[in-house]
Amino acid sequence: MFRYIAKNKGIIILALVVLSCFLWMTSQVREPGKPSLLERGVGATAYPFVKGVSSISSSASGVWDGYFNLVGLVKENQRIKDYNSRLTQENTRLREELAKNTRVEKLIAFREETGYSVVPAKAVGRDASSWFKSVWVDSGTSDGVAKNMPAATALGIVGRVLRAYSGTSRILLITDPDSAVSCVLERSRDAGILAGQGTDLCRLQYVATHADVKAGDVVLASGLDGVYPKGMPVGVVVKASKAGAGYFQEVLVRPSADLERLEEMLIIKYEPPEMPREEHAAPPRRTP
Amino acid sequence: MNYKVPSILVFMAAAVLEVSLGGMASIYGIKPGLILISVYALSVTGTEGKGLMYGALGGFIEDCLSGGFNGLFLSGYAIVGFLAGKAGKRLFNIGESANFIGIFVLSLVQGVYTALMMSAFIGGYDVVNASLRFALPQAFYNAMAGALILWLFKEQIARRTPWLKVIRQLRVRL
Repeated sequence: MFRYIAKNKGIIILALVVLSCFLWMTSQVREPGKPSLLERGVGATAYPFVKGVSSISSSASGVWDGYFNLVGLVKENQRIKDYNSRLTQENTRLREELAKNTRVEKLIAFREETGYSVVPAKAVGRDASSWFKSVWVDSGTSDGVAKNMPAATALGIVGRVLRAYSGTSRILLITDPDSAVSCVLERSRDAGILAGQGTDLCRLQYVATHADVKAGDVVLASGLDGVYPKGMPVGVVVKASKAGAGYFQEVLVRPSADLERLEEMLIIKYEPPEMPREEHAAPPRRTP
Repeated sequence: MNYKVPSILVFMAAAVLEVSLGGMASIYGIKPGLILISVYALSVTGTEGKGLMYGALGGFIEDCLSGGFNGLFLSGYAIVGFLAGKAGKRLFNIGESANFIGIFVLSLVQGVYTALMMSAFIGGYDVVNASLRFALPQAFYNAMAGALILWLFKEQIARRTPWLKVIRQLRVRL
């Protein structure tokens, strides 16, 4: 027995690691808790580097864009080239600022329109793996961000806060396979659950075959999940098919917000309206 | 102990690059798994025990920086590290085409494992579809990127692996 264990020590340890991880994952499904101390440590250690590399890469791409237009002007004299490069850089910077201002203006208009208290956040990094869809943002618990707060752009819902650390948070995008949003179709008011697939399209599940769904229909949050505010745009139906379906249609939805090019967003301090409590009063005593 | 600190630095550097610049190298949402490549590179030149440890460490960092369940990548990468460490001396030789096959197979194993685990915890998750849509292209991309990275760092890797030097010397003599 002991000889067998000693001989297969590696496989036994691996099996124990896999089993422990399985139990760990099971416990998270049952009871999603706060990030552990180690997890927060890794997050806090990695975040400054992520932010640093992200800012270097964005400024490098800005410089690259600035110089890109000058490739054909190699034979021009140096003075004009330098002058031109300076102007191009400045122009790129100004255009970038203008674009940023336009986006921020839209976000401000969105905030005023909805009336929610919001926290502005800037995307600084993407999910480390290709399997999940999440983004890192530069606002955290110190800014009032908490778990499960919805995040949105002026175009629509982006996702919800998965983890909130002191100066940073991770937003789970609606395209993530683990994401689900309770939705309703704007035109027909048919309801469904929008589930991510890990690709740029989401699937609207549990839409009955008799429901009136067409490509181009706007999908809104129903507010029933207690996470996303009612009426916020989520996406647009790109395909609705009844072929081969049993009780439900196959409905594909493209998110309204451009999740592949997320830059700024708002984290909404949304508190769902309280559900009326059911009074469990004792049944009236029968009186003779 | 002396190999642990550099390996943590390698994983952290890979993680930071994956999070911040991974999007730029992404093709249809698939980006190279730099941490997995690092696990492979460190494990294939070590033993199965070290591979398991490297895999668990790299997987834990990936778990912390991704939106999935904690423990998913830890266990998946531990399998990769263990297998890479077990196979390392016998099959692989850094800088050769075997690395492409090695990374491809181990990445595919990890991908299918991830899909299976996700199907266990996320209702309606299609394992076959996910394996074809994510695991296969991810394995191919990892293999391409990994073979290139290992070729670029082959001297550094050979320096920390005495048996690899011997293999190389033998080859030169043959």
